[in-house]
Amino acid sequence: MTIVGIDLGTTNSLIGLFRDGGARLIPNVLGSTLTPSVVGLDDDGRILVGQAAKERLITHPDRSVASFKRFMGTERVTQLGDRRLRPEELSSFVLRALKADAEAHLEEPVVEAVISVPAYFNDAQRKATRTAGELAGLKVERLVNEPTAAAIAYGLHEAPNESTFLVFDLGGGTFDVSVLELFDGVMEVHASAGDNQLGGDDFTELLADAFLERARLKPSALDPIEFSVLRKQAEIAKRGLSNAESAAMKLVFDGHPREWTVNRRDLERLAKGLIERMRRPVERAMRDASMNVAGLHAVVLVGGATRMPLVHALAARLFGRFPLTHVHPDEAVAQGAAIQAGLKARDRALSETVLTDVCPYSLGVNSAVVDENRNVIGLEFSPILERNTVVPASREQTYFAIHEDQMEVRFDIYQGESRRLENNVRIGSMTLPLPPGNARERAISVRFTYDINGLLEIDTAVAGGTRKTLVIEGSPGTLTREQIRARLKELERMKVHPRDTLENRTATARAERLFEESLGELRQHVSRLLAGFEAVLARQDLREIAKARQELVQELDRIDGGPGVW
Amino acid sequence: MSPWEVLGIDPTLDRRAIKKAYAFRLKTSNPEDDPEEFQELREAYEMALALAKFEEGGAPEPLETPARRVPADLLDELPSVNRRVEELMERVRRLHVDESARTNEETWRAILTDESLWSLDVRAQFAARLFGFLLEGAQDLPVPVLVLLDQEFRFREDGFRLHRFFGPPEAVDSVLRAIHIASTERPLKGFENREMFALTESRSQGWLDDQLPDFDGLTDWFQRIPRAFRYVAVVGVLAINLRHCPAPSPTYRTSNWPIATSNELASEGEPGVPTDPKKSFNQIRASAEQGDAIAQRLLGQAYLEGWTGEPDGAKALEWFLRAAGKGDAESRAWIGILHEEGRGVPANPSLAAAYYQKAAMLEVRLAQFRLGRLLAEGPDPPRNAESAFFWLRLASGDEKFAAEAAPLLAKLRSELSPEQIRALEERMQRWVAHLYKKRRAR
Repeated sequence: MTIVGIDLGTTNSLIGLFRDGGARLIPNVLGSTLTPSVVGLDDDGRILVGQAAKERLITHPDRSVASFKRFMGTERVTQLGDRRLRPEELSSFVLRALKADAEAHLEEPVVEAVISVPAYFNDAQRKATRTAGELAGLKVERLVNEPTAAAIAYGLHEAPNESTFLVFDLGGGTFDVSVLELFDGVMEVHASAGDNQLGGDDFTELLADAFLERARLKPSALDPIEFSVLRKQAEIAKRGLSNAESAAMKLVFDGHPREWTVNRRDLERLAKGLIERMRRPVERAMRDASMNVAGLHAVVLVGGATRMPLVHALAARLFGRFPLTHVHPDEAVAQGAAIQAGLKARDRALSETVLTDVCPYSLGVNSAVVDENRNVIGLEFSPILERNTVVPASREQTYFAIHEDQMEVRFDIYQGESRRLENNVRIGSMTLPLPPGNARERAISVRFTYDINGLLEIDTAVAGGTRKTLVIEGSPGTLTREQIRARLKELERMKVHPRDTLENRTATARAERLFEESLGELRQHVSRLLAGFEAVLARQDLREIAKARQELVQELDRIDGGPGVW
Repeated sequence: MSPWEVLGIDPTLDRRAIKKAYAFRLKTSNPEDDPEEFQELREAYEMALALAKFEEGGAPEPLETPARRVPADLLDELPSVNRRVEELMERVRRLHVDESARTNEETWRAILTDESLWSLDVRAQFAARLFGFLLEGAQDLPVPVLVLLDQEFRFREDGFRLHRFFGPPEAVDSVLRAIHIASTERPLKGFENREMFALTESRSQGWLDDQLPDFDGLTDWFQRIPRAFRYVAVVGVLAINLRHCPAPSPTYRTSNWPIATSNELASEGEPGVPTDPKKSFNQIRASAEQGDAIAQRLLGQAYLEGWTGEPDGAKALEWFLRAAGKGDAESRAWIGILHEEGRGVPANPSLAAAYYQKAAMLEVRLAQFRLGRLLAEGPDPPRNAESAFFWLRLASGDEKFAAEAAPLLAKLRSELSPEQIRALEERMQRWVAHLYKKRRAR
């Protein structure tokens, strides 16, 4: 049975496997290894995933959604037509599409997977990712941290043995930094740090906002379609600036075309705050790894957003040297996930390789601070597992009841680094009954076990009482077993666009998008192309359809500058 | 089991050998299949590495940069990172003496946005130097400037490290407190304030006169602190009973200590000599298990002395190693003793000497004495009359060791030429003066 490796990204998702001593990525039905992480509801009520849904972001913004990874682990619900979907459900559609691609490629069912998550994903976000896998009919064998995955890809293929390097991973929605050492077949993560709310998307937003400001437009003045056109323009301009000194953004508003030619300096100026935010995790990872720049053999950039010259410039400023971009920045994480799948499946080619990872943040509980008369005078964070502990790890702390007649204790579980509770993230809570007795004798030991997937398990034992494992309750972003089962039933009733007609649907969605974006002559031309293709589709001759589609796509490429621009 | 046993190798401080052994064992005890075995292996590995690192002198040094100003004509010869840090510090000093510019946030911001501060190395060094500058008495900066510096360098988040790198601890605390008050615009409330107070007081005892801790003063001081904070002192007083109280270790943790524990200790009655060894033993063990380095060392000593049964060298070693892994210098001396006397481990005087050496450099008199004695006697480690003389002379500064050292010293004196002795005495004085100055400077 093959285990697949999946990079479930904010912008794009990829799937691969480990074969013949190396990672192989599997192309989707359109021939690309990148499947846009976009989900939409087609006009006929069927779910559409990938490039076709991405095209429809422009034409049907109310029925399409992207970047939902940013909401993983929260209760945020997205309205798609008449459907209300949670982020893990949206992710499950992407996973299902990837799974179908892999099954078509391998000609066998795929049920086991390794999925990558940002190192800085918290417990709820990890659980949500796991649930997404389950909802897609995948058994998630392992969650692997993205920078670690990228590092494995780099380490296995390119790094010299005995080296220490830093992976700088800026994806669409998340930013991670890891410091790793490679020796004697051991890949050891020394430290990870990150910001799970910082990514390439933020740069796009900056450009879109700046455009509106220059055009003296309020965001509320734009309708959803204009808004998504603007976002797309910003995205294209952002990417254009990676290859050229300047790029143009255009938007027709109220019948008047507005245009702004943005240059690299503009973007740098706008992104000053984001760049400063990127510095902090790097500093922290280096500090936690007790590393100075001279100790690093390489700085490796991965993630699509590291194509931006300003990210290269940042790395050069921080490290005083030019970073490496050996690994294909979009594919490194997926390759690493595929290698991890190979490790998991005990591929012979990897028998001499062992990977150890860390828990990137501290985990602990609230503890009461009391004075000599046992009056509570404050609460503070009491860390149990310190950040950058090698996982799996298990640590225990002892606590005591405050009052003599106390019947139960309540622990809130926090993630973070601040002694002040309010500066940390609460990931759940648990309540524990206490046997009667002297407060002093009722020692409560709390054991945190952080497993290799980055999921937390908590064991507690009260002196004189029994040991038990507690489930974290009250974590708003996580579904219970029953909820998952109910959701699964619900999802099964929803129809997904069949894979074999996805190519046609993507072509028509793209033509529809071009129709929306163009004016006059060109618009009529697109309209005619679309009508012609629909007529061919109606005749249901597969060979004729394939030929017509090829012609249509060529024509569309000519119009909007080729595939991959959007 | 000692960490090396877990790794399947002879005791060694060679990092390369430790890593090799770990990598080899990892292929069978890997984190996927056997989390528990892996954790045991990992713990042993980290401990062995920490010891090796400490022996290599990897402890507090890296951030300790000279407090003095570097003469201008030498600036060009410095490596570029240091040079840039010096230049920035020069700007800081100039700013600090300029009364009008000093209170202006913008002038500070101009330094902080200097292009050279984007380099991670420059930044880390500059942050350390800047904190040192604040320690030297520059914490009288206006509130917005302190807040700005803390936002930029997160001093408060880094308290633990700052304590390790800088001393004396009460001065570090007072700067951090000044920053904290500036940042929150209100005085510290409740426990935070008092805890810091307790911490400060307990630590300051060790630094009061730049000499070894004043044990009697500590006991005296204990009577003055509020009951709730006596826990800090309880461990301290127990340490006195065990004779070899070091300067309080900077790794001394109280911030995570569940306060109920301290209440409990405080309510055990008046402190002093442990009347009930078993009870004291349990108290120490509870603290040790929570990761307190000093308690861990005390527990090692308790095992070695057989408080609650037969002396147990192996158990003692385990706890000394834990404490030493946290940077507790005196534990190193004790590990040396185990190796010298072959208790819990095969006797290995050379390895013992290696442990003594590092502890001796950190002014542990016990280690200085033991090292001097080993070197005076030979042949394993090889006899070295000069080094032996040097260490025994230093150890004699503590009367506990003076009597025992005297005959050895007399013998060495008869062997060494007057010139050699004079040179050694001078070297010793220079070393003592250097330590004294270093402390004063900090």
